[in-house]
Amino acid sequence: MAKKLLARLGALFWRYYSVFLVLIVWELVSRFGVVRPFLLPAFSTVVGRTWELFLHEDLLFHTSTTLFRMFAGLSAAVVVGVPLGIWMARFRPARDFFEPLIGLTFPIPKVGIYPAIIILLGMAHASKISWVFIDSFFPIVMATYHGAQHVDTRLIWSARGMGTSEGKILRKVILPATLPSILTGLRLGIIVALIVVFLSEMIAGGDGLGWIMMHAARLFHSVDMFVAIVLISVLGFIIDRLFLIARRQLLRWHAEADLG
Amino acid sequence: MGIKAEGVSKLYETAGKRRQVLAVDGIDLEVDEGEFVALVGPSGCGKSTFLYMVGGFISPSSGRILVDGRAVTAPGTDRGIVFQEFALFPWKTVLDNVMYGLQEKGLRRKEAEATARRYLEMTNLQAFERVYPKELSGGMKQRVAIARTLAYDPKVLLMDEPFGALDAQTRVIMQDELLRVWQGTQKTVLFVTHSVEEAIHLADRVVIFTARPGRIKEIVPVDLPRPRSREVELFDRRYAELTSRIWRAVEEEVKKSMELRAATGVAP
Amino acid sequence: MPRFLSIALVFALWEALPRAGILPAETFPPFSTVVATTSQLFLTGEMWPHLFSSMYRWAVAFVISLAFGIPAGIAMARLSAVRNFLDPILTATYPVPKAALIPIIMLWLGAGDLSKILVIILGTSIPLVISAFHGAQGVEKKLVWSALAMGTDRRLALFKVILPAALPDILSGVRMALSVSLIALLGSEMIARQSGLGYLLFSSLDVKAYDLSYATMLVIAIMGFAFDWGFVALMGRSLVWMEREEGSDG
Repeated sequence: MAKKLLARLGALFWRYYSVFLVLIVWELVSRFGVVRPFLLPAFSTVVGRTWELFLHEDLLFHTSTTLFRMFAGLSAAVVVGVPLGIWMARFRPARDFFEPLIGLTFPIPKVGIYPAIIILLGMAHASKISWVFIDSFFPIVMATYHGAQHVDTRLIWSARGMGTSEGKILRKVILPATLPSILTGLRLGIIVALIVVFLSEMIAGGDGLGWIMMHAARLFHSVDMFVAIVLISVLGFIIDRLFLIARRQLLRWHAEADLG
Repeated sequence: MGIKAEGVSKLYETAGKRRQVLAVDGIDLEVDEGEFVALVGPSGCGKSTFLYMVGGFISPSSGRILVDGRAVTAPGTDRGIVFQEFALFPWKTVLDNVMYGLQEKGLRRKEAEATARRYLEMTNLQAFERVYPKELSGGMKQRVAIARTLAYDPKVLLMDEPFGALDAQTRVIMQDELLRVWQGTQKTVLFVTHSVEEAIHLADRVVIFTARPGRIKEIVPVDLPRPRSREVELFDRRYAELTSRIWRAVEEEVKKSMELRAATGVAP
Repeated sequence: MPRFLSIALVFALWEALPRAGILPAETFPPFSTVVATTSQLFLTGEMWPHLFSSMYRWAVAFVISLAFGIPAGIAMARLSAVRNFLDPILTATYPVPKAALIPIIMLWLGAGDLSKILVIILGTSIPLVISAFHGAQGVEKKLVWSALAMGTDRRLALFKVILPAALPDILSGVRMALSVSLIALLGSEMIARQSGLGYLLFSSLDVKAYDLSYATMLVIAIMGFAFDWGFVALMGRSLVWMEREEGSDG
C-alpha cells in the first residue's frame, strides 16, 4: 500500500518535474544571492510570509473578498449567459437581435471601458463585479450558443419519437447535449474572471489581493508583492483543477471527458 | 520490382514496457514484380501495420523487408501509398495535390502540371482541378488520392483499404478503374481490404491473416482469367468455391478476434 | 427583424438617455459628444503620440511573441523532451493572471517600455504556444506519411505539411492572443503611467476629465474592433481551403 502510494508520488513528481525545477532554482538563486532578495525573495520566504499574514494580518479577508467578487461576477455570467445562448440558438428573432450586438462588443477590450463602469457604479464592489461579469459573460454565451446550435436534430427527433414533451426537450436533450460546450466556455470564463478581478482591484483598489499587490508595490515591499502573486496563482490553479475534476464527473459519457 | 518479407514482426510497447502488444508475428511473404496481392483478415490483425512497414513508415521489431532486393529503412518514392482516409493536403487544390509528388521529384511547374492533368483526365477529374478537397465527395477524393500516387510513377502501390470509406456503387466502379490502370502499367500492388469479394475480384493471390498477433494463415491463388467481369463471376463455380473457402477462413479468425476482445474488454 | 436593430438601439439609447436627463450628461455624455471630443483630440494632435506609443509597444511585443510562441508550440508537439518540460509549466501557469505580474516586472526592469513589452509578451505567447502545440499535435499522421512517400525530406515536412496543417489552430490562437495583448498593453500602461492609451484612460479619470476618458474608450473600442475585423478578413483569405463545421460533403 505504502509502496504504491510512493510510486504514485514519484510518477507525479516526474510528470511535473519542470515545475519543481523552477521552484528549486528560484529558491537557490535567491538564497545564494545570485539575485538580490529584494528583487526576488526566496520561495520559502514568500511561503512563510503568506502564513504570517494569514495568522496575524487580514490576508484571509482580502482573499475571500477577491474570491467573492470573482464568483459573484462569474455566477451572474452563467445565469445570464447560458439561457441567453440557448435562447439565441433555438429562437431566430433572439439570434437576429443579439448576435450583431455580441459581434460588435466582443472584440472591444473591456479593460478599456472599465473607467465608464467606475464612473457609473463607483469604486466599490459593484464596478468590480460588473467588470468580471461582462468579461466572463462573452466566452460563456458564445460557447453555449455555438453548442446549442449544433445539437444533432436527430437527437431531438428521437426524443420526440419516444414521447418526450416539447417542454422537457430543453431540459432532457438540449441542455445535456450543450453541456460540453457550456463547460468549455465556463473554463475560459473562470480564467478571464480571475484576471479581471485581480486587475480591477489593482486599478480601483480598496481591498482584495490585487490591492495588496499595488499597496506593496507602492511601499516597495517586494515580499508582499510575491505573496499576492503566489496566492492568486495557487488559487487559480486550484480552481481550475477542481473545475476539471467536476467536468470529468459531469461528462463521463462524453468522448472528450479525459482531455485537459 | 518485387517485395520480400523475411520473418517480419512488430511489437508495440507502452512507456515503461508495462503493456506489450504483438501486432505482427513472423511474416514471410514474397510478391513478384507486377503481381497483385490482397491482404485480408479481421480488423486489428496487423495487416495494415505490415503494409506500413513495407512503406517504411514504421520499422519492424525483427526481420526485414526487401523491395527490389534492397532493405527498406525509410519511405521512398519507389513505393506509393493510398490510404482509406485519402490523406489529401486540404490546403492544396486538386491539381496542386496531384502535382506535389512530381515537384518533389524536381520537375518544373509546367511539366508537373502537364503530367498531373493527364492523370486527372484518366480519373475523370479534369473539371475539378482548381477545387479544394473539401468540396469533393468521398469517391472523388479517393480518385484524387490515386491520381496523386500514380502521377509520380512509383513501381510499387501500397493500398490501405482504399475503397473502405466509399459506398457500394462507387466502390465497384473504382475497383474496375484500378484494375484497368494496373493492367496498363504492370505495377506491383499490395492491397489491404476487409472485403473477401473485393480481394478475389482484384488479386492474383489472397493472403489471409490470423487474428492478433497477425500471422499468415493461408495464401490462396486466384486462378480466374483476366480481364474479370462481375457478370461472369456471378455464375462461375470456381469463383463461388474460392469465395466460400476464403470467407470460411476469414470468418474463423474474425470470431477468434471477437472472443479475444470480449475477454479483454479492449475496443479495436 | 432588421439585422442591426440591436446595434442601432444601443447607439440610440446612448444618445437619448443623457440628452433626456435620465443619465447625468457630465458623467455619461451622449454618443455624438464623445465622437466630437474624439475627433477634436485627433485634430489638435493630442491623441496621436499616445496612440503611437501604445502601438509601438504592442507591435514589438506581438512580433516577438509570434516569433517565439509558434515555434515553441510546434517544438512541443514534435519533441517529447520539450513537451515534458514545458507542458507542466503551461498547465500550472495557464490560470495565472499574467497582468498581475506587471508590478513585479516593473520592480525588475523599471517602469519603461521594456517591462511593458515583456508583460505583453508573457500574456500573448501562452495562447500562441498552446494553439500551435495543439495544432501541430493534431496533424493527421498519414498526411505526413503521404508527403514522405512522395519524397519529401523529413525535416522539410515540418514546413510543407505540419505548418500548413496546423494553421487553422495557430490562427485561432493568434486571435485570442490579439485580445490578450490589448488587455496586457492597457493594464501595463495604466499601472506604470507615462504615455499611451492606458495612461490617458486613467489619468483623465483621476482628474475627472470624463470627456477625455470617454474619447479614449472610443479609440480603444475602435482599435479592438479593427484588430478583430482585420484579422477575420485575413483568416478568411488564408483558410479558404478549410472545412467549415457546417460543411456537408459526405
